[in-house]
This record gives sequence, structure tokens and C-alpha cells, in this order.
Amino acid sequence: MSETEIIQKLKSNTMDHDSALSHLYESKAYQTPIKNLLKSKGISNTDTDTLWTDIVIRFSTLVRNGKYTHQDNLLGFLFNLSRYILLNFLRQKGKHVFNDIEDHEFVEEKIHHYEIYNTELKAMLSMQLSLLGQTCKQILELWSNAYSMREIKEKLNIASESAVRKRKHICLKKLLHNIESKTDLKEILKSYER
Amino acid sequence: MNNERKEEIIKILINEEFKRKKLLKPKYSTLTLIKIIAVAASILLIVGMFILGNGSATPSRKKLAASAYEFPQVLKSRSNAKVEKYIAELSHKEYDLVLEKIYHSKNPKDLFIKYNILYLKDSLNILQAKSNEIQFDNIQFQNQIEWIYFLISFRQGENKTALVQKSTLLTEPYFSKSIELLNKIAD
Repeated sequence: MSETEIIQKLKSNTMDHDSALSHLYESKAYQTPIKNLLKSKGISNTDTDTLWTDIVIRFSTLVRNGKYTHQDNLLGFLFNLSRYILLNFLRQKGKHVFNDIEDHEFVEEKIHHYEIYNTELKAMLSMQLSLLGQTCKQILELWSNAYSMREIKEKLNIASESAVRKRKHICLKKLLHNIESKTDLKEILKSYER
Repeated sequence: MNNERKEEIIKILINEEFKRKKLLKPKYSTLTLIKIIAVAASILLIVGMFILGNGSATPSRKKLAASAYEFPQVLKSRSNAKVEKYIAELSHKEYDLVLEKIYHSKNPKDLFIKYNILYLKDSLNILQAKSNEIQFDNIQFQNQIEWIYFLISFRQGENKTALVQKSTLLTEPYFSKSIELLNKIAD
């Protein structure tokens, strides 16, 4: 899969998106240099794997939301994104931040603007999502994947669009309530404001 | 932060979380793995049984041959055969006793029953050694004895092509029985 194909497929919200995401995630051409960079900064193998997953996912979000313009240097962009995610990761862990990471000039301002990384919220979200019912999870997954209420209704065989809307509202409310009961969500989300 | 912005961020985070789960999900689910293991185990079992079956081809063919073979019915006649005195013993499958009584008899009917008992007692070597001298004037006896020799070859694992050739020398009903048997074995 060429870089252009990857980008094109990542922009869609069909199965093409997932296949491009998996391809990028598995691709040694991108994975190896990025992981080597992370390891060279003293990141453990486990954390390197976690960060690589986050880098790929965040990249797909940027592409999907039109925050990435392909200029024949996908790996270069991934390096920049990796440095930024690594910087956030080290700060969150209260670890020493290497100067060469901090001082790096991010050619892509959009990364700077769009990067949101909070390990606490990520972990909380992961846990609380897994505690939701199957239908709730399916509705939220499709909704977060930019499916319309009509598409969700058809996919999940729900009676009406308004029923989907109502259930999505209840599911999201429940999820946020559960997260807020354990973390200061408002405070965390403030850090996302740039 | 307004609710719209909050929802937008949460939406992105939820989407990323689902993607993360998908990426980190093992290539095969537990159920799929169980299925794969079950299928692999079944294949291994079949292969194992096949190897064992081939390693001792005789028992499986022996079983098939046994299902095709029928001990001849002995009826009272004027042949003066010793075996006719032991019809009751034969019906009770007391073959050793009958064999002892008829072993040295030269009467064709006794000989015929003797060879059948020898076949039943797996004395194939004796029968093979006698293969050239066994000749019956009675065509029914002769046909049945040919059938026994076919069964011996079959049990001893002779290849199908050779058995097919031998089967053509058999008469009915033995020819049909031989084809049925041959259809049950691989080439």
C-alpha cells in the first residue's frame, strides 16, 4: 500500500480505514524507525509498543479530521508526531525530558494544536467503555466513527433514528458520569484546550 | 469548555479507544483459537489413526474380510462326510472339536470344511502352503475356496490392482462381494 493509498483510505470511514490503519500499524517501514527513536530515548519495550499504537491512532485521527496534508514524507510527519507524543508521555510520567525532543521545532503546527494525550483519561475511558453494555458500545463506536443516526439505526436494527439518538445520549451520559465519578474530567479536559 | 467542545474531544477519544482495542486485539479470538486447536487436534487424530491403520494394515482389512466371509452351511447328505456328524457342534462354533475329528479325513466335504475352519482360525500359512494341491471336483466348493484365497490376499495387504485382477477370477456371489470389499479400501 503506497503512502497516498494509506492516506486516502484513512480518510474514509469504511473498512478501508481499518485496513489502512492495520497496515500502517504493522508496517516495518514506519514502525521500526519510530520504535528505534523511542527506544533510543530510554523508553521500555512495553511503553514503546503502547506509544507506537497511540502514534498510529493519533495519526489516523489527524488524517480523518483533515489536519494532515500529505507531502510525500509520511515518515517525517510520524517522527514529529512521535516526538510530541513522547514529550507528553515523559511529562506525564514526571520523567526527564530530553532537550532534543523539547527543542525540536515542530514543522506541523497542527500536531501541536491537535495533540491531546492524557494517560489517566485514556485508561479511565478504556475501563469505563468496557463496562458498558454491548449495544451502548456499538452505538458509541459507530457514532465516534462519524456514522449518521440513520446509518447506526440500520446497522444495529434499532427502531428509529430518534431512538438511536436517545440511546446514544444515555450511553454517553453514563460513560461520562462514570469517568467523572473517578477523575476530575473537567480539569483534564482543560488541558486539551489550546 | 462548552458541552459541544467537550463532546467533540470525548468523541475523538472514544474513537481512538475503539481503534486501539481493534489494533491490540489478538489476530484470533479465543473462540477462534479454540476452534483452530480443535480442528488441529482432529487432524492429528485422523493422521495418527491413518498412520496406525497403515502401520498394521492387516487388522483393518481383517475386519473387512471377516464381515464379508460366511462359514458354509453343512447339511446332511449321502457324501458320508464325517463333518455331517458334527452339525450341532458347528452351529455352536466348536470349530476346534470339529477340526480334530475331520482333520485326517480325505472326504472332499470334510476337506472343504477343514479349510474353512483353518481360515477361521487364521491358519493362513497352512492354507497358503496347500494352495496348489487344493482342487475340488465340486464346483461350489472350488468357487468358495477361491474366495477364501482372495480373502487371504486381501487380508495380507496385497495391492488393489492385484486384488482387482484376482477378483475377476471369482464367480458370483463372490465376485460382487470382492468388489464391495475393494471399494472399501484405498488404492
